[in-house]
Amino acid sequence: MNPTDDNDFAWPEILAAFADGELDASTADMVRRRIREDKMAQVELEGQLAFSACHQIAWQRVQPELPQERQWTALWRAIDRELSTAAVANRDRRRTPWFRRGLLGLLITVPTTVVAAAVMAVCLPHSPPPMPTDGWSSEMVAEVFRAAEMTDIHLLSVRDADVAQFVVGVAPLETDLPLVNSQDVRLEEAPVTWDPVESGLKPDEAGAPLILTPSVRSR
Amino acid sequence: MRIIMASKPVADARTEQEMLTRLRNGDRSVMNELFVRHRAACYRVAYRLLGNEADALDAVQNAFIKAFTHVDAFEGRSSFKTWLLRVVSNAALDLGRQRGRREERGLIDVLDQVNEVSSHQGDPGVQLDRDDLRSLLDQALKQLSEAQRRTFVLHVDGGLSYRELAEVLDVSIGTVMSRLFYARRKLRAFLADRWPR
Repeated sequence: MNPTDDNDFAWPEILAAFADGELDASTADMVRRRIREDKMAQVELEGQLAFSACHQIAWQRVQPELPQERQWTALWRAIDRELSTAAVANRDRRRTPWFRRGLLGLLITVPTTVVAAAVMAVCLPHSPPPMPTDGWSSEMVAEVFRAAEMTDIHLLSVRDADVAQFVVGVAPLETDLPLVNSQDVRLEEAPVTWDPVESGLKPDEAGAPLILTPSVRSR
Repeated sequence: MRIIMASKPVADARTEQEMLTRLRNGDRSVMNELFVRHRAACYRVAYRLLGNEADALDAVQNAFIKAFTHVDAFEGRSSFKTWLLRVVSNAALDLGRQRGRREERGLIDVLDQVNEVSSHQGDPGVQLDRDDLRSLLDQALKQLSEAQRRTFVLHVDGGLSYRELAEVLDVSIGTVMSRLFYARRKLRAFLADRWPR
C-alpha cells in the first residue's frame, strides 16, 4: 500500500525517512495520520523504528577507534608540510612574470633541440637516397638546379648606409641561370652505402654520378 | 504533494564562516583549527569506506590538502563540514580503487573471520567481541554498491542529514531516501544470519 500515490516516493522509503526524523513537519503529519488510519502501517513503522534504533546502536558500538593524539600530530605535520611546499611553489610562480617564464622556456628548449638535432645528424646512419621507381631518363638528370627564384628573397630591412649599394631595376637575367648540371659533377670518392646496380639503376657509362632531383624524389 | 526534508541547524556556522574568510585571505593559522574540528568525522567516514586505519589516514591527509588548496571552490552553499566530507569520501573512494588488490585480500580475511564466527554462534557463551563486530559490519558494508555505501557511511558516520547528502552527492532527496532504504535492507539481510543473539 502506498499512501503517497501522488508523489514519487514509495511508502517504505518515506517510513524510513520518518523513523530517521528527516521529514519536514507537514509530511511527518501526513505519515502520522496514515499510521492512525492503517493498522498495517503502524506495524510497519514499529518494525522500522526498532530496526533503526537497533541499527544505530550497533553502528555506534563499533565506531572505528580514533587515532591517538601522536598520530593526529604526525598527520597534521604531513599536511602542513605539503601545504607549505605547495604555497612556496605557487608564490614563486606568481613572482615570475609570464614572459620571463616563456623566455626561460625558450632558452632551455631551443639549445636543447639544436644539440639534439646535431647529435642525431652526426650519429644516425645516413640512409641511402630514395630511389626512383620508374620514369628514369636523361632529361631528368640534365635538369637545371635552381638556387632561388626572384620571389624567394624578401628584404625585411636595409641600413641607410647600404641603400646606395643596391642596384635598383629589373632582374639582369631574363632566363634561368644554370649553376650546375650532372655533366659538371664528378664523384671522386664517396662511401658506398648502396649498390646502384643491385638496386636496378644503371649508372652512366661515363662515370657521371646519378643526381636525384627533388622532382624525381617526389614521384 | 511535495516532500521537503527538515533541515538541521549548522553549529558554529558563523564562526566557521569567519575562519574560512581568514583562510581565503591567506591566514594559514586557521587550518589547524579546522583540522582539529573535523578530523574525527573525516576519519570515521574514510575508515568505513576503506576498512583500515592506514588507508583511512592517507585519505584524510589527501582530503585536507585538497580542501585547503582548493578552498576557493567552496561556495558556501552547504556547511564546510558537508563539503569537506564530500572531499574525504572522494579521496577515500579514489584510494580504494587504487588499492583494489589490498581490499580484495582484506575481503578474504574478513570472510574467513565471519565464517569462523558463524560456526561458533551455536555455542553458549560465545559472544562476538568488538573487533569481530567491526569486521562483520565492514564485511556487510562491502555488500553494498559504491553509491549506497557512500551514502550510508556519510549518513551514519558523517552525520549528514538527507538534505546534506543530496547536496554533497549531487542527487535528489528521493535518490538519497532510496539508497539509504535499500542499503539498510541489504545490510539487514546480510546480518540476519550472522548477528550474535
